Amino acid sequence: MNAILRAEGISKIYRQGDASVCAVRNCSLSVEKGTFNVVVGPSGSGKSTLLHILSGMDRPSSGTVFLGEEEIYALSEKKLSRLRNRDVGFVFQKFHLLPFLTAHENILLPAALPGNAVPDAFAADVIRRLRLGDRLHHLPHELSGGQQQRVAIARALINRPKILFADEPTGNLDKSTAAEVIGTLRECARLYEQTVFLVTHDPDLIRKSDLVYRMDDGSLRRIGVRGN
Amino acid sequence: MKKKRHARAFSVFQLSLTEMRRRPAAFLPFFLLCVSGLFILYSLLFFQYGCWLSELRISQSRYHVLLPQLTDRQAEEIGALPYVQSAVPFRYGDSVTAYIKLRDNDPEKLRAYCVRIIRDVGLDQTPAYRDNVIFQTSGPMDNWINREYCELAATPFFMRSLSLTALCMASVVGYMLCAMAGKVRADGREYGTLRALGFRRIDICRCLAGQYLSLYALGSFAAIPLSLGVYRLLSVLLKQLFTDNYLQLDFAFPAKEVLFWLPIGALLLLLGTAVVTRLVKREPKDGIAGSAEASLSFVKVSDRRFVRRPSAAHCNLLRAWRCRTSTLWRIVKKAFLLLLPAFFLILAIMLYGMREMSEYDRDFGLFSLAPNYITEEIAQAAAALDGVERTEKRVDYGEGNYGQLLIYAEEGRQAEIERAVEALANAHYLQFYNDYRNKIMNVEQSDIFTVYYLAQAAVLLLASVVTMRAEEAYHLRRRRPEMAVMKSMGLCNSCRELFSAEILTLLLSALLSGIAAAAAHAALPGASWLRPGFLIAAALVFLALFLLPHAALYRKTRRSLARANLIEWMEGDGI
Repeated sequence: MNAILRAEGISKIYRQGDASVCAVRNCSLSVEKGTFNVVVGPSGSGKSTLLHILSGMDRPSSGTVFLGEEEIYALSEKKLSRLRNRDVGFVFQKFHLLPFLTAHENILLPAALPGNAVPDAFAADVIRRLRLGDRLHHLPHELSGGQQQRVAIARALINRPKILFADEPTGNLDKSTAAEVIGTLRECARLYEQTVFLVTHDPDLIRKSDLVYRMDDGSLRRIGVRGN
Repeated sequence: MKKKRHARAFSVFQLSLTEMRRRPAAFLPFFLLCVSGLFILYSLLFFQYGCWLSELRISQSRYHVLLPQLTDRQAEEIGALPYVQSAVPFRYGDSVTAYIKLRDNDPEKLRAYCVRIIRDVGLDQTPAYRDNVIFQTSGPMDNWINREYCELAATPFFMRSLSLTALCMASVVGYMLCAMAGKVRADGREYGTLRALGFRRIDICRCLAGQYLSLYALGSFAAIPLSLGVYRLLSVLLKQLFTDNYLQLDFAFPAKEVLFWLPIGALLLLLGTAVVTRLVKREPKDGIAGSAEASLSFVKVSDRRFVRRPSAAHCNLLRAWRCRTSTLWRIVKKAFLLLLPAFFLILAIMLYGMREMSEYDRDFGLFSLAPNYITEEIAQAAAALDGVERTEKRVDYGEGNYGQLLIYAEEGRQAEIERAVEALANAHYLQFYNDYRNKIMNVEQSDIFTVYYLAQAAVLLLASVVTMRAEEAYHLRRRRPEMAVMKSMGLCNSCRELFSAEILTLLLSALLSGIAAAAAHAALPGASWLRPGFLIAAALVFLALFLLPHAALYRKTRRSLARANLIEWMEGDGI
């Protein structure tokens, strides 16, 4: 299998006055295409920071990240934005839907940029699979937490990104809704042949993933593969 | 091959319009200000243009152009030109001066006609006129044109109206930019989300420009007809108030100026949008994490003072300090709103002061017409005229020669001695001004301007208060989660506690705008006529009118909070 995402020696240091906090320490990893990857670890261990760096949301203090053959932080601002728009999907823990757009408009938001046209059939398929058909014209505050997260997943999938990142996507949901959301996420990833990289505390999800990483105090180590 | 259908829901522009449609409260203050600011700008433009045209009309009733050093034949030829209505010759020594009245009343074409007369009569072949033609192109042609008329016609209306309209435009655009910057900061999380979805800052800039330019266009669309209507109404009312013909304001549309200021405003706004977009965080993660979504997010965990001495007032002031950049934006934004009414109020007070101390306090004026000076003999002859109360010599050239002689008549005898003073002027080849009529006109003119600027100040103040109230209401709505948390902690018992920071920002804004308006005024001539007592009284009324609606709004919010479902308030309404 090919590595779709590769990170080499990435570190992230936050400075506040004289003090500095190292959120990510010299992490390297390689993610294979079509796999389901999970990062676990205690709160404040740097999981979200790592995810932000890998997805092109936040520049590392040192190290490089490759998406396919492209070193993403060597790209121009324009190309990096384009990469975030077309090659990367991101699901946030707090959904981050735009409150003034309906569910349907939120889903199609990444397609609002010029040159991005989503085939009608694909959009309809995503909406159907995420069971949002009857909630499309509601504003986010009129939806439940699970529905909002499904809208966020649909939004992340709509441009058929190469890799989907999710930062504790079930963190704000109850257990049954969380299971439903994760099931949907896995199903979509399988159907649309997408690589998934997510941060979670959910033990069920850890058991079902292809590869598990553990993050402790900014350091990353691989702790398991499927069936092991 | 069957073409694939695409589900591209909207463009970036449509996204911006959708936000405006679904979130009207966020854009209402901006729109109100846009309409009121542009209304003032355009009504000011129409009023000034009307006054300018009226003054021109009065001046034109005498003559348009004065051409000296002519022969009798040349003066006759000028009179026969098809575009000349009359050319009255006056002999001064060996030469003739023609007082020419044109058929065309268009002041803008005056200079072109001067050149045409000179060319048609062949004056440009004579050495004196060759020099004068060169002279004219560099400006001082004014010496040969009726002075009053020249002062008006030679100064294009655009230049005449530039300072006030520029101030209005700067104020409107300044407010718009502050509002935009405030929005970018307040909605940082949403812009961060857009960045995370692949929107570039230029896309966000397009989005903002789409929103604010649409509002500007709508505001202009509403403001121009509104200004025209109000100006028309005012001119009719003023005509009834002051019956003198002079005060009949012309109704005309200064299309060139309107067409100049409209795109200038849009261009400034566009440039400002590009600058304000720089406030959007470069890294999407910073944008998403940077917004103060959580309630009381400005309170540090280690803030012991807050823990030791919990009070809503303290918390409120702490918020203003911790969010000092947005607090500063709000102060500046409000100051921009108050600047114009404060400026117009000071202008009205100043004009009223000038009314009583008018520099037109004289009856007749004699002015030297080179190479003739006003000599001591002439001054004595004028002082000796029956009915002259006193004379005043000005512009001393030395050796008993003067440039100006002001003549004050005894009460009610101006008309009686007018002919004698005029004869004196003609006998000594001096320029004669009958000013006692002007004096009456100028007092009334000062009244019109005072009334007009007071009306402008009142309209602006009203618009500013409505705008600010709408904006404050939106701000308080956004603060609901935070207020609910404080309330759940047993705080927030009084308006003073809840809104101490808001009241402080309002007062600071008023102070800032007052200083700015006074500073702008200090640059204007006649600023020394400001009367402190009058000014203080006006400032107090101004402040009261400004603070009362806010006090009512705070009271209403506190009452709503007392009855509110705190959980609902904590969650916000999604907008």
